[in-house]
Amino acid sequence: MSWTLPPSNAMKASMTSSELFEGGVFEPNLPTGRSGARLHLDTAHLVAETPSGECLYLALDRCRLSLGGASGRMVFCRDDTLDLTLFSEAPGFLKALTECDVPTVQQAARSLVEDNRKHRRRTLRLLGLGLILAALVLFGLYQLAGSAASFAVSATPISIDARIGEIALSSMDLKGPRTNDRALTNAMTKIVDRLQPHAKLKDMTFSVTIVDASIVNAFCLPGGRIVVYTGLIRKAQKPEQVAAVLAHEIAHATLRHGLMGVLRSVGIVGSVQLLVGDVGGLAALAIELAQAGVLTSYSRSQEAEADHEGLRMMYEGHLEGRAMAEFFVLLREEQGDMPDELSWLASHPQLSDRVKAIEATWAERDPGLPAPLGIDWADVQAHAKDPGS
Amino acid sequence: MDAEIVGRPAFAHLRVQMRQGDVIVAETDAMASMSSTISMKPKMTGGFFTALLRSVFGRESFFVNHFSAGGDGELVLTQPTPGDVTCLHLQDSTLYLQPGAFIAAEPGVRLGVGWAGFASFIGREGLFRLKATGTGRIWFGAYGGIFHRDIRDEWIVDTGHLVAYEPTVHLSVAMPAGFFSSFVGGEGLVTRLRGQGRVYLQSRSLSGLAAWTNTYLY
Repeated sequence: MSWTLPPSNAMKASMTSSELFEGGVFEPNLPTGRSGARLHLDTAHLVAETPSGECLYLALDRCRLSLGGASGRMVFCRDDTLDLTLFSEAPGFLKALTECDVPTVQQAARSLVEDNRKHRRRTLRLLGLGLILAALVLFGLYQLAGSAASFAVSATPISIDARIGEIALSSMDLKGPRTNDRALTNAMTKIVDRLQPHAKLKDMTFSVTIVDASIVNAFCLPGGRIVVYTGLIRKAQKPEQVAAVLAHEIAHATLRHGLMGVLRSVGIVGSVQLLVGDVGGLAALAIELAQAGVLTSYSRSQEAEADHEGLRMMYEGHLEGRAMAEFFVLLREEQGDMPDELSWLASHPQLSDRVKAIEATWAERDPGLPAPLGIDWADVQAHAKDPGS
Repeated sequence: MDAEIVGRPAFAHLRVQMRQGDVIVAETDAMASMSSTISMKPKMTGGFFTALLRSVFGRESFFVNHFSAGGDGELVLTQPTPGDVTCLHLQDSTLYLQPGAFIAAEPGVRLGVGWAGFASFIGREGLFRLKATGTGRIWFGAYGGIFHRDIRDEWIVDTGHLVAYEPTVHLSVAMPAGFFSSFVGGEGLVTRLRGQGRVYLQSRSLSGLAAWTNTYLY
């Protein structure tokens, strides 16, 4: 083969680089026209040693360099007169060519190093642009989903909220027995009756379920189903504090935060299905979402919104709005004593910020003289400790 | 170890006659049948991270199965789609395989994952590709028939028809004609191959079959 130097010549050639580079060779006379090879440089040649022991020499002064391959970093050294190509993408191969003894190859290799740099810079720029574009698209989709959910909420009749709340309540593990204690029921009904006329949605009706458990919690499911734990009644120092908690929870229902959570969970397609009246899968969905806590977990902005709306209801119902802040402070002070049981607190982050916001909002109003609820709180608390007594 | 590809080209599968001590590495679920003298052990390829990339982006399994012959026996390996299987003997060389093509290899072949680039991703050829390096036989399959082309400068392949290629070949995504003609002509995007090296192509494309089937579903 014309490209293989006689051993005597090969022996004469002194090696300028002892470094070996993994690569390969294309040559029509090889059994498959190609082979993997280890490359090294001598003074005038690029030498390829194939695994089968053949040595191929490419004269550097006839070598044409180019970059390419799957990675874009493969260096091709080609001798067009012999149809011989040696290639490698091993680290350091291109650098070794820039340091070889043949000026034309040196220059061509340096030019490729520069091209490589440009290519890398361009790739990084494209990558950065791609990431920005991806972030923008994701943000757009998120906004679209939010708008679709808001639109679907406003277009969904309140009867759907009520149905979701009803199914959710019947399927939820309330973590304690329900109680019909007359004193407790009367007190809660009195509070709700005071708040209801000032609720944002006049068509929504509210009903209270009292659960005998030491959990300091209360929530209002979509459609107005309120659940109050005796633990919360025992913790509150006066009925206005319970009224404040219930006003906040009722606000979640009237602002339809629970339904928003449902629609965000089912996505745009689900929202559209609900809009066109497909409530077939609603029951299963409500059960699943209630169990996953979606119906009663809200975002920080929704909590702030519910605080604000709850305060408005308290104000218009002639109730002392500061009771809401008082109750937060009460819970925070005692948090260390029973952290597991303060789930109402745990699900409401940034408490101190909210206390400040409530105080500020209430200070702007002129509450006039609050109208007492007329509840014998000591008696209610005694019943909360031992319902049915 | 003797291996024979039978049932070509439509339902090709690999029949491996193993002698005691022989080992072959195969894609999980590739085993159709085997002698009781052969034992199977799942292993991660190239460590956890490579295995993860391979499974998430290379559309291959997280594990590969190592089949070891405790005594002489036969192992039958196959692929999920109808089509041909081919064998290549790597000699200290590298081959890139498109996601899902790999069937089996001798232990001298190391399996890894290589970045294919956004062009490959846009051309629906995947963001990563399987990289087989080393010395030994490798078997890979395709949907439809397999044929190869030795390209010198440039060659155009419709997306979804590329099966494997040598590392000396550069892939880029292009439109075969102008924007309008490309999409009206039904070719959409194509993969432009540049450089010198061998590429393996499949005569059918699964996405083509899926698109054709969809027309009967809606």
